[in-house]
Amino acid sequence: MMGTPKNTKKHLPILKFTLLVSSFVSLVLWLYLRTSIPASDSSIGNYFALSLSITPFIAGCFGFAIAKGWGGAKSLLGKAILSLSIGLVLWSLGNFVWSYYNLVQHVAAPYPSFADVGYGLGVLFWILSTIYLGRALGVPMMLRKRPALKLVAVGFATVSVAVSYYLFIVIARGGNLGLQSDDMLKAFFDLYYPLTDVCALIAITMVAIVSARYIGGLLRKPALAILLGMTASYIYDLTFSYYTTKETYVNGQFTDIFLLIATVALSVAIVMFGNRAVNLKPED
Amino acid sequence: MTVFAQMVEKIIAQQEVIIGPIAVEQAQQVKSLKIDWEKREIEIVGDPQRALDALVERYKLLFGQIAVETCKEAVSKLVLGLPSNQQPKSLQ
Repeated sequence: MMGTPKNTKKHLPILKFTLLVSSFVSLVLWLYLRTSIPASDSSIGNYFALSLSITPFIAGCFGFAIAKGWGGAKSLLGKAILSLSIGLVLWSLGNFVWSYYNLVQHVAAPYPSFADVGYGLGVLFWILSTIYLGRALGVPMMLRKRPALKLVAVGFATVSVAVSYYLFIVIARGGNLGLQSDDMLKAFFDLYYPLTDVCALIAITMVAIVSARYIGGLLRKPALAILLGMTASYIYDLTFSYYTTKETYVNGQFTDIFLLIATVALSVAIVMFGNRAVNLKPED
Repeated sequence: MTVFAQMVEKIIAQQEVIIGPIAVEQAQQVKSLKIDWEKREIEIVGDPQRALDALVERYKLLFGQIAVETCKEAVSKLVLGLPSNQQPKSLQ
């Protein structure tokens, strides 16, 4: 099966090719939407939204096999790749549901819907992946060794919470947390999304501040790809919240480029981990 | 098991927690180490300090300086028990 290193080696070129094509299609559609189509024409935008599901779905599925090569659930890096893969698949499934409403039902996806279950859980697993990556990169060890870093980390975490509250609640939602809604599920997601974004920013800044200076070697690029993807996802959530609050969001909006960057960067991280695992295997 | 072999074992075990089976595969590629990881048997052929330096260098290629710091932490107590002229350079 795909889990063996030899099969990973065999399947990696297929994965790379598929990711390249699907990302390219998404980018071309987005550029087309930004330059040629009136904002009100949503049909191409809906196909663009659907195209965004392909890259992370394929990368996520392959990621399970790649994680196995790094120890799977038995090692920190394996857990990071596994969480990233689960997150990518769940996020894609959420996006498939979103596209189902747009393209099959011909209605705007309701909020909340099953799409939000996929998106919400997907981002949660991405955060988990960043935490495991941070542990693999020695964040707890560095905090133990350099107490001054603890102060810096706590400072940045506090700033992250304050910045996120200001951007997500004050700016994007006009100060409305949305908790007064009668719909409990909507109230839950209204609180859940900004909370996960705060956690994401704290995880990213902790890893970046504490260990980014020391990351090197073959695993530097995939680790940085995860940080880039998580940062782009944070920016996307922020701008998405802003446009949906103003009720001006349409598929293929300017802000969607951050989503494309996020899903591609996280998917590329999986490919890079796969590449490294294959190249490090001793020859038979 | 000699103190150097114990250090090798601790470093591999620590790296295995981080990167899984690749940690053992990388260690097995260090020429001066003969490893049967299932039995936890480690034999150092030649200069043990150089063998340890070569092992740490392997992991450094993967994760950079952070890997060196992790290796140092894994064997810090054992290194302190050695006279300074016997301590591997990479672990000082």
